[in-house]
Amino acid sequence: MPKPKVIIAKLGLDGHDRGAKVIARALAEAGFEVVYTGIRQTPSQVIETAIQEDAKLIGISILSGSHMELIGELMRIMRERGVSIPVLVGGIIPPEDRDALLKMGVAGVYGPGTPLREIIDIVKKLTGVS
Amino acid sequence: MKIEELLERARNWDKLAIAKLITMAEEGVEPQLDVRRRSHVIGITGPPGSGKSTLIYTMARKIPQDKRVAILTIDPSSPFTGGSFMGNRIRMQELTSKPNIYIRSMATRGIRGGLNYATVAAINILEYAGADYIFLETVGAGQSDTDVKYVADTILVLVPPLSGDEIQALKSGLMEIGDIYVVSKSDNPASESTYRDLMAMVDMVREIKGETWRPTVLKVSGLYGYGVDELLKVIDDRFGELMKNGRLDNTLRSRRTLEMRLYAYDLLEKSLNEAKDLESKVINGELSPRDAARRLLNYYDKPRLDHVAVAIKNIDEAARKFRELGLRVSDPIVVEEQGVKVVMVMLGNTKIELLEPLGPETTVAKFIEKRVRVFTT
Repeated sequence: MPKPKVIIAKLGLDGHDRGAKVIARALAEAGFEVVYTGIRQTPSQVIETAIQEDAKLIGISILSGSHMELIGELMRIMRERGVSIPVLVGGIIPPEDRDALLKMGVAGVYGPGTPLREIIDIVKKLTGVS
Repeated sequence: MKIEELLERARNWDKLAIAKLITMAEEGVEPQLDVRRRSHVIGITGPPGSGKSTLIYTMARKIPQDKRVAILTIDPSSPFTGGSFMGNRIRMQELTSKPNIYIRSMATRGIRGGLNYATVAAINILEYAGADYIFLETVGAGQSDTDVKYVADTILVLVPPLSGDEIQALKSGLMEIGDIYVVSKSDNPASESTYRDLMAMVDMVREIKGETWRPTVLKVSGLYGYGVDELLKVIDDRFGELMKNGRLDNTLRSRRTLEMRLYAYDLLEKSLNEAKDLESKVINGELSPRDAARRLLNYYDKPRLDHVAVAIKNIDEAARKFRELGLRVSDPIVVEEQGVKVVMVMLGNTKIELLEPLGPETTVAKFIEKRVRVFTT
């Protein structure tokens, strides 16, 4: 049985997609069905994608510095649409913003240097895969 | 949420409900749907990189917004990890927020790498939900892609420019299933010669398939939109034809048999994965590989008990008692050469053969004399 579907997306005006692709690839290798949306997604596109794909987790990569605005918007739209899907944020996130993101309801924030094994484990935990 | 409620909501093009239903189908649930033909199912196939996703994006964008459009896009699963990197949406993400459009990525899963039973179930769900168009984008590799002809009403085969030799390679499979052949990326000047090669190939294949096979050949650029209006017109005209001549219901039937076949492959894969004992017998040489395969599929009858013979002194009395128990009992037969009277008692998958000796000198009479102490009638 394949593992649940997860979405990996790049939010906002940010073309640095290497990290997102590496994460997507690693999760696919770990047995997940990973939908990669590509770059320059709006928060509503990401939520719509997650709904249409019946995704069990959303992974967001942001390196542009607009994470507070974009993630805030993402979480607001998710509440509006009445769905609740765990969100992980990766990319360049200053340490002082980390708590604020977690307070918004993000399930975890992972910066550069995080071992792939750790990412796979947290995704497994959040999607209920043993 | 209950399946009845999901079905009800899916009828109103509720994408969340549709998505949940498709997931359930992927997980093995078989929803009982009364599917009435209303969707034009269009299979899009062609080699990797031939522009399938981009063309679907351009077509879906041009379809009027009062039409419901569903896009199923298939990506390969790893046969080793089961995982899949699904990137077809990248070219279509702009469509994601349009209310009339639903896009779903599906992995091939399973041993065969083409369509799987869940794809067929997803098509049924989307038709039930009232899609006007269902685009099915295949993986674009190998013979298993020809399964698409059993689910799609119309098949588009994409051939990118500069694929002269590729056209030769297509001949064996894809060249025989297309209804519309599309030279994709025809913003490239080389597309003109690909178009001519394709026309020549269609003529050649027609010699084998017969004069009635007359596919359309078109040049299209998904990126710039050239030829897409014409393509959509050909697609819609064809749907009108199919409705008129009743051929849409043929596809509904072949969809059902394909789902049976694909589900059987899945069950086969599961039993293969569980057949570790057969596998070790093949490895240590106890069974030949083909013998083991036949055993897996129960080609050999398992050992079965045909009957048990019971020697008895009074057969009519015994037969009466078995009849009273509600069992089917045959009429007595006298077999002179064996010196017995015989009655068969039927027990479903086996029988009891009652034997009464005809005289004291018979084998059965001596047997009873020697052994029977407990059961007497």
